[in-house]
Amino acid sequence: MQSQSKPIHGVYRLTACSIAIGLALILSYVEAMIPLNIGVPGVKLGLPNLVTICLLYKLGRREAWTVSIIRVLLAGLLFSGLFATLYSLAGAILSLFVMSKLMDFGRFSLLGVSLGGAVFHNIGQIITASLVIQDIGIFYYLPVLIISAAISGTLIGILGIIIINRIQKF
Amino acid sequence: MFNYIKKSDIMLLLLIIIIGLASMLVVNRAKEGSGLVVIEKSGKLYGKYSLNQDIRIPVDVDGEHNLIIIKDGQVKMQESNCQGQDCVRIGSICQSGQSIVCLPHRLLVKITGSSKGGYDAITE
Repeated sequence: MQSQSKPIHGVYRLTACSIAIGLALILSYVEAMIPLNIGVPGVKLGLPNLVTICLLYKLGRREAWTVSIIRVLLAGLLFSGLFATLYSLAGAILSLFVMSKLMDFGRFSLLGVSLGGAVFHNIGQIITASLVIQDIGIFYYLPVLIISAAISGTLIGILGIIIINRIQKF
Repeated sequence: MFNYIKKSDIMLLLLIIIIGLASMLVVNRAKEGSGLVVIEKSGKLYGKYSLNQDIRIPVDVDGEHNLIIIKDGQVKMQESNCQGQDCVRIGSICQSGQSIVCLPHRLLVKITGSSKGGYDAITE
C-alpha cells in the first residue's frame, strides 16, 4: 500500500470504522462475560477502549467519537438495559474527551492517554450513578475504581502501543 | 516497544495510584458492630433498619420489585426484576459505607454509621 499524504479516502474510512464498531462490540460482549464482582457495577477490563484509542491515533478524532458512541448504544441495546447504557455512555464520553485532550497535550504516549481514559471512564460512571441514585455514598467505591482503572488502563495502553506500531499506516 | 513509553506516563501512573490510595484513606470510615441500613428509592428515604435484626424488606413500586434481606448482620438483594441483575450478583454487604445499588430501579441500600437513631423501622 503506498503511503499518501492526501486525506483519507471516504470509502476506506467508512469500512475501517465499520470494522472497528464490530470489533468493539465483540470486545464489549467478551468483557461482559468475564465476571469481575467487586460490588460496583462498572469494574471492567476496558477492552473496547483498545479500539477507541487505536482509532484516535490512527484515523482521527471524529472516527473515534463516532465509533465509540455507536458502539456504546448498540452494545447497550443488545446486551444490557437502558440504565447501564446511559451509565456507560457517560463514562465513554468523558473518557474520550480526556483522551483526546491528553493526546493533544503531547507529553504522554498512548499509555498515558489510555490511563487517563480508563480513570475518567470510571469517574464518569460513578458520577452518573450518584446522580441517578441521588446519593453521594456511592463514592465509597471510588478508590477501588481508580486502582482498577490504573491496572486496566496500563494493560490496554501497552497493547495499544504494540498495535499501532504494527498496523499499516492509513 | 518500551521506547515509546515516556517518563510522563510512568509519573501519571504513579499519580493515579497515589490518588487511589489517598482516596481510600478518605473514604475509609468502616465501623464494625451494629449499623443502620438505609434504603432510598428514587432519592427519597424508604426506610431505616437496624443491621442486627433478621428481616425481609420487599420494595415494590410501579412494578419494580426488589427484595432486600437483612440477616446475621449482612444485607443482600435477594431478588430483583431488573434486567441487569447487577444488584443481586453483588452478594452481601456488612460494613458501614458499603452499599448495594439497583440503578434501573433507582434503589439504594446502604449501611451507615451506628444505629444510635434508636428507631427500628421508619417508612414513609
